[in-house]
Amino acid sequence: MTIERPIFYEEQILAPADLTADVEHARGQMARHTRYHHLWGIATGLELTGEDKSTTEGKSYKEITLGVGLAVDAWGREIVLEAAETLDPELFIELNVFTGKDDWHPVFLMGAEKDPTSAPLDLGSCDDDSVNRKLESAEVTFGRPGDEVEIEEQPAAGVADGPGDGGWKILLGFVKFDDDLDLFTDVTDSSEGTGRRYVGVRADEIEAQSGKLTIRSRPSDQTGTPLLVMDESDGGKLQFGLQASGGGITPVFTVDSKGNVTAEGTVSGLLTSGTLVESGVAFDGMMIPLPVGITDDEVADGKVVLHIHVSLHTVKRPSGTLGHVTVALPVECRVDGRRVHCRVAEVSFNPAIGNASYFPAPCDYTILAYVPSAEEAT
Amino acid sequence: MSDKMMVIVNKTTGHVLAAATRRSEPETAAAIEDLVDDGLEINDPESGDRWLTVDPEQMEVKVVDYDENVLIRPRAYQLQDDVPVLLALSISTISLSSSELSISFTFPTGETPPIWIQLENGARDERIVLTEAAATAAPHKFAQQFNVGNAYEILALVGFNTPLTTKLTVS
Repeated sequence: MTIERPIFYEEQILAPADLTADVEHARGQMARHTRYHHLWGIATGLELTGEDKSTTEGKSYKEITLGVGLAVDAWGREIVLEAAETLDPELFIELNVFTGKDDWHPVFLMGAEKDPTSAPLDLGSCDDDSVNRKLESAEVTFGRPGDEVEIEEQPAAGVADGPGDGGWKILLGFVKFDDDLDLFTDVTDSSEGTGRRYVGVRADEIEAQSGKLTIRSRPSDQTGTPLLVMDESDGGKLQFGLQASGGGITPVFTVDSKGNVTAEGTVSGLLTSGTLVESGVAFDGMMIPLPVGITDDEVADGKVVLHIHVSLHTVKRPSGTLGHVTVALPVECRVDGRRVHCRVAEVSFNPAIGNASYFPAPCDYTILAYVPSAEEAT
Repeated sequence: MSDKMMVIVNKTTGHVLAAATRRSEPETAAAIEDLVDDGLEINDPESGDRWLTVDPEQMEVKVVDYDENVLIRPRAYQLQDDVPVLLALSISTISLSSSELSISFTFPTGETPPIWIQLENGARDERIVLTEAAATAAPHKFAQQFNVGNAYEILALVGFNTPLTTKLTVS
């Protein structure tokens, strides 16, 4: 297929098809750009909000409103909702998608191509072909729970196609419905990990012009949200942190162009070669805690070698008159894997007190987790 | 040395079953599985043999103020409002018959102590956990079928009472 572009010459009589072809060429070009340079989804607004209401019988329900906004579908078609719209319970019933009061039913937005409604006494031609406008409108529809996961399986555009006639579903959120009241009762943006999808970009290379490239998880006025900054100042650095007021960054992790790493927190999860150490006290029957960042799986896989030393945890005992002093003698203090076996026998120097008493006891431990270097591991 | 320590407590009664410290992150509670793996072994202090194993699901890790006495004798304490309190009372008797477990103890007037009892047979293939959220009168009886002649190692935890470990044969 070849893309056709109309051209004109002096004194040409322009037929409607010529002018339409000119418009369609521009629409097709824009749709292909949007489709292949960007990722479809919500561009702005289109938020679902619920307002608490009561029926005349005092039953609670929610009136759900879809706010104004713009989305782009997978054909590259712009879908504009220029006035807020109340979701229609009658449409929900008509679509026959209800599965249960506690189920979250997906709400979709679709682009639609419509003819304008003619006024009853319109003075236009009686010819049906005389319509000289198309309405690029937006339509809300509902689905059954689970329909939202099949959203990527809708008919895709051909590479040369224009924006199509609409019909591609964009997920806006979810609603609950009460089939006794025939009204909505709740609304949410996401259900079971599936939620609203926003527009994106397709790019193998991003090039900044100011010397600083910023990637934000939220708009710049939302402080405390994560962002990533690549900045050529100070010789070049990569920073991760949280958004400060004014859209700046409060860095918690920085790598400079010389490879120096500055981290505000701890670096865990290794596995860099070296030795991690942990020490403390552990009681009989429990496990010696692994150093932070080391996992049981890494030990089991032989990626980490443990060295453990334990000794009886001794304490200062109250002094007593000679003959009444009790001492704790270690009976056992060892580890089986990381499991502690530690017992003491308390013995009195007073013969009247009799035999030793045995108790489970705590041990002091030092655990070294050695991670071999890549060369050693091979 | 940090001024905090971890205690492993029974979820039902709050009894401290073990205690530990660590230099790194001393004020963060470790995951229970990291500290007990597949269970906390309660060993016979005299022989060192394993008495029974308390499942991780029955326990949780809490961070409390460091106390050397709790570290040395954790099982003499019970967490009350997240503070280790030294236990002063003792369980009087516990007995098994073919149809019930009976346990006698005392507790402060007006209180309703929780009860948690684990029984494990010598072959380690039978583990029974009996719980009661609030005992109102002693002796407390649990309707439970036991085979006459079977022997069980038992760990009994009752609020306000020190833990009892014993071995009983069903008669």
